[in-house]
Amino acid sequence: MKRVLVGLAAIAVFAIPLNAQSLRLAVGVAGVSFSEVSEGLQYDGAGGNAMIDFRFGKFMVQGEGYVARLVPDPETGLTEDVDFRQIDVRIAYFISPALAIQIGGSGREATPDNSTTNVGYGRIGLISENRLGSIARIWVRGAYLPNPKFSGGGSAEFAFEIGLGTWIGTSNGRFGVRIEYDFQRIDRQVKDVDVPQQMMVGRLSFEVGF
Amino acid sequence: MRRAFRGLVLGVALVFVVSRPVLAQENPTVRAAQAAYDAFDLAGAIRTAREALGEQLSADDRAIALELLAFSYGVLDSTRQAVDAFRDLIFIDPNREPDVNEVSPRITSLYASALGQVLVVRRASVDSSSFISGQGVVPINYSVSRPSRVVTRVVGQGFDAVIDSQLVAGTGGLRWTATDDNGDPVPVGGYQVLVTAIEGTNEFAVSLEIDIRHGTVDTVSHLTSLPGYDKLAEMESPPRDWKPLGISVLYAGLSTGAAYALANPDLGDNWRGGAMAVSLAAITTGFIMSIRKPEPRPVDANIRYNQLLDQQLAQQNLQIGLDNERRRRQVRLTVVQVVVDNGGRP
Repeated sequence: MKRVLVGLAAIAVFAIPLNAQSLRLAVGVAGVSFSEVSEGLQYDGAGGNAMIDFRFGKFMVQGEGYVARLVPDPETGLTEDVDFRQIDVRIAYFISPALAIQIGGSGREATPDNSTTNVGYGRIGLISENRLGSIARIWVRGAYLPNPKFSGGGSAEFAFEIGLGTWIGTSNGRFGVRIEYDFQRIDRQVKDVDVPQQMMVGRLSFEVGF
Repeated sequence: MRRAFRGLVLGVALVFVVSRPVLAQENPTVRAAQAAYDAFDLAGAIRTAREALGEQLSADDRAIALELLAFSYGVLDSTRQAVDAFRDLIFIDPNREPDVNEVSPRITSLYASALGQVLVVRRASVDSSSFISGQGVVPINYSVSRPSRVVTRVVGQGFDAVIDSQLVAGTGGLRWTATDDNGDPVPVGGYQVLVTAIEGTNEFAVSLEIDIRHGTVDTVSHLTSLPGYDKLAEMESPPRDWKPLGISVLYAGLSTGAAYALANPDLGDNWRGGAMAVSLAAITTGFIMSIRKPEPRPVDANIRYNQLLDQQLAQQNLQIGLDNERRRRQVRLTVVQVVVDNGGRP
């Protein structure tokens, strides 16, 4: 294990940057705030996250996920913690240097199974990314989440997410820190009964780029 | 009347004698002739000068004796004898002639008459010069008393060549390259330049001594810059730019504002803290990037300009290198006329 870590560190430091393409890996902590049904059902918690971002020409493929243990708000009267696991996939095509169209999908599940609803959904939206000089960049993204599927049934016609992130690092892009959040609202209805969900995932990650 | 004529003759003689330059005579008889001439004893001067010419004299004394004789005959209006004496003087020293500013026109005309009767080469000289072999010449100048063919020949250090032959009336000259038939510089050492004037059976030659030395040709230093053309800065720091802050405020405002506007108020506001923290971090990043000293950026136009200068410099240095290579093979010739101590005559 130690050798593997040393090898990875050596690659991170000495690997030659790729031309016209880049690969970025990030790991860090994630903070999650989740509400469902009403204000009385809120969870907050923290965990870890990882991200891989590969770019080739005008294309970007990004996958990220987190695991977090959420604790119910004391005012809710709930006592059982919930573990969240979520994976997001984004494929984007930059139609201009600062604007890309994204599609993708996500899946989120909670443990214990009946604590909250597992959900899977597609994603279609826009990403705008800009450099703030040679050592920083910023991005904002918004997406409509079409056709979400819930473990407990139901549907949602109105579902979207909004995200903001910034990165600051070395001028060669090898090392950096990224901080970002994604806000998500899904207006689920089950048999004409509103069962909405709202979630915010914040991430603070250390990134290595090649 | 006779007394008046004698007074006139003595007056003219006084003008001649007083205005004559003082010459250094070594022979006592020549000195006596000079003294007689100075005392207006023209008959005595003629007699003594003739006596001196019968003796063994140096070239200078012989010239002085002949000059005294010619002047004395000239004063006494003995034209033929004066011209004969001047003619003998011209053969001995062609360059010696009366100063037109100090002698009467009559004496000058007598001298000119004598000069017209003989063939001599006068005022022959070699101008000292220094030049790269093959790129310069040695000027040789002379004049001849009568129209004639003048042949110039250089002899010395195993070199013997006629370097010029031309018809000359009055002043003439030539330019010698100081090279042999192969174009190589002649060897170092002393040479004689023989200038011979030929007119029918008459012939007169003068010899000039010259010394030729070889030297190296200076090389030229390589250039480190082109004079008058300075390189431009290839990197320039752009002015401070608030665009990063503007973009970060826009993005943060857009995302967080949209989140606020679209959030479901029934589901609480726990999410706000994290969103605000990230927005604040983004705006802070933009602010830092705006106030940060802008990094120097390459200026393409200046880079291209400097590349052109470098190319030009390289071309010039290449040319200098080739020139230096050629210069190292070249020889600088220095030609100096050697003054022979023979009474001031070359």
